[in-house]
Amino acid sequence: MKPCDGDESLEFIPGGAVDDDDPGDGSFIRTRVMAINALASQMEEVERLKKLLEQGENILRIRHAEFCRDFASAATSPEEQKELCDEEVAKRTQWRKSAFWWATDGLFNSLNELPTDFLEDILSYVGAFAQSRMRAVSKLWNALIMRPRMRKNLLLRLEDAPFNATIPFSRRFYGTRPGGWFPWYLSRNILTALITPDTDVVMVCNGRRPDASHWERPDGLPKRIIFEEPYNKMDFILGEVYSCHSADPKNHAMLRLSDLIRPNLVTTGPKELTFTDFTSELYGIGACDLDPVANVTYTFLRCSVVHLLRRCYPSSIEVPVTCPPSNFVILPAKREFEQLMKDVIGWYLFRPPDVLPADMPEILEFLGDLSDKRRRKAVARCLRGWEENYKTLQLNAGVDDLAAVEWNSLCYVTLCDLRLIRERHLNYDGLNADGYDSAESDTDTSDDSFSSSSTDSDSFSSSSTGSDSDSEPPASEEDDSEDD
Amino acid sequence: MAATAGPSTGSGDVKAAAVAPKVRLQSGDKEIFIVDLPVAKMSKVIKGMIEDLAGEEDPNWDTLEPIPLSNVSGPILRKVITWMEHHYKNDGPEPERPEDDLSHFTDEISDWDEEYIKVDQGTLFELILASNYLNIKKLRTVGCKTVANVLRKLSVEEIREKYNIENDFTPEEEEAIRKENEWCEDQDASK
Repeated sequence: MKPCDGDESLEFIPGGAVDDDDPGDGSFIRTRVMAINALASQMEEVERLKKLLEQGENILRIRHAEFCRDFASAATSPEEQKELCDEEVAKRTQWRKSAFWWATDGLFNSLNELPTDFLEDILSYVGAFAQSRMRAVSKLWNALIMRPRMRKNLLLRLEDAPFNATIPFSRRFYGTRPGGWFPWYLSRNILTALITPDTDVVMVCNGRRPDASHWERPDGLPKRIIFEEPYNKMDFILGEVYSCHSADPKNHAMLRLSDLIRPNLVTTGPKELTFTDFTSELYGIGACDLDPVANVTYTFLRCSVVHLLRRCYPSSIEVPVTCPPSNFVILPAKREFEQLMKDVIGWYLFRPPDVLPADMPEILEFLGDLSDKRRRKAVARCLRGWEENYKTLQLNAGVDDLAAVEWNSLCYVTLCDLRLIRERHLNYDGLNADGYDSAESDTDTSDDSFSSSSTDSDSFSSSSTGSDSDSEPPASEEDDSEDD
Repeated sequence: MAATAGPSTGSGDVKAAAVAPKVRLQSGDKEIFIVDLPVAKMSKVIKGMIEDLAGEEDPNWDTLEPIPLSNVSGPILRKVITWMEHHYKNDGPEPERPEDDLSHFTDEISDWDEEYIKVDQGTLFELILASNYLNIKKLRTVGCKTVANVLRKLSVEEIREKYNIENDFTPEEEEAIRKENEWCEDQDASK
């Protein structure tokens, strides 16, 4: 056995000195030799490590020099250097860890790491409008939001509905129309749905007064106020109109119109009407084409006009078709459309606070400013309709802060939009293609003034005397005599 | 052991809860919680475990082994139990709803829940996961609604940044989606 080849110390150990017969002496020497050899190998290791350390120190020196050079170029002041240093530290210590990772104590690095069903649930609750926006977050989100389950993400149970139904609200439905009131078809019932963009609440009503509790939100948002008075008045007026003009109120356009206006009045009051897209200014609406976004504006506008005119023109309505704007635009300058609609509704429901019946003759005099005689008559009849309303229904409880109706504005709204209605021939030809389920729309189209051009046309001029729609209708003798 | 109906105490019976037996729940970090049986049964998972453990006869609840809930930590389990106790006392039994009943799809959260869920994000997501693991639908809904309410207030970019979500759309795809949803941009007042 030669355990320590090459070890100098072994050279001085005489082989004969090891007496195999003396185990104590031999083992002692062997132990010493082994210890010396171990020590020698340890020393070798130390030397090797020393060399490594020197190399490491050199590397560190080089790196340090580079770092200092970077500092010098990137950060001149000590503050900047400290900031840079902090960034470096943060980069190295938080590598691949997001703020979300830290916020969730390392639970998730990204919200997308949540199980898909969780993410889907969460997205279900963000609401219709936010969902549409959030489709742009990532492909996963887009895919989840577009799943069929999401399409019925918002609904409202109507406690006072005649049918005990919970009505899912289809994304496809409102995807093409951006909020406001929409006709809604379900089992041959015409309902009306509202999307309020501020709350993402979908409200479905069937003409009955919706339960106020649906609007009581515990989250500190403004509570909706119930305005009983306008509601009752609206009921009263509509009841009168129904009895005058339709044997079957359900088939009457007015009913749908009431559905459009009434619940919003009930929940907000005329001063607080919150129709979507009503910020477009009149001038713009009159001058530009209606894009799909303006559909809601258009819908409500159309209905309001129909409402107004049907109320004021119980016997017939005939509207101009191809009036150049310059012929009839009596500009009240630019004016918020929403305010105008409030005025129109206020006009319908309330006596304008600063207009008394005694003022009527004077107001009618203003009509002389209108260049078109027939239009003048139309406004006059409109005014007279209000006056009759006032007399017969005692609608003298105005809303104090409701702006006075500007007659020019009223005239503008009426005529300008009638023009649009005719010219567009009611965009709603394409309603089925845009959003309604065909099954739904198939259920009840006969009394749907929104879904076909023919019925739309009817809703405006069904009771006309059959005059050519390209020309303005001649006023009746009676009207002429009255106006003159 | 066959799963059978549990003890006669019906969940939602407040009077019964006063004399209700107690079960022991063991969190993942070995913390033991003693909970009223009907309260514990608000979790369908615990309910199933209890029924399995109890067997066909009314067991001695004091000697029954703690129910192991290994996926829930002690602090989170404590918070979940707080939630269950409150809702057991105040809500009564949760009605069975059909799968397609979406009437809970509103963003409303009760005042108590809103206060309860005011926690850091880590706790919030742990609560959501725990509610899922324990199969407590209402708690899961509260959690999801809370996250949703936060999301609603953020823009797309803010959502990506806050929740570390990579934008994997090509510019063209993103533009197409944005264009498609232009109609809702101005109306989403909650943003």
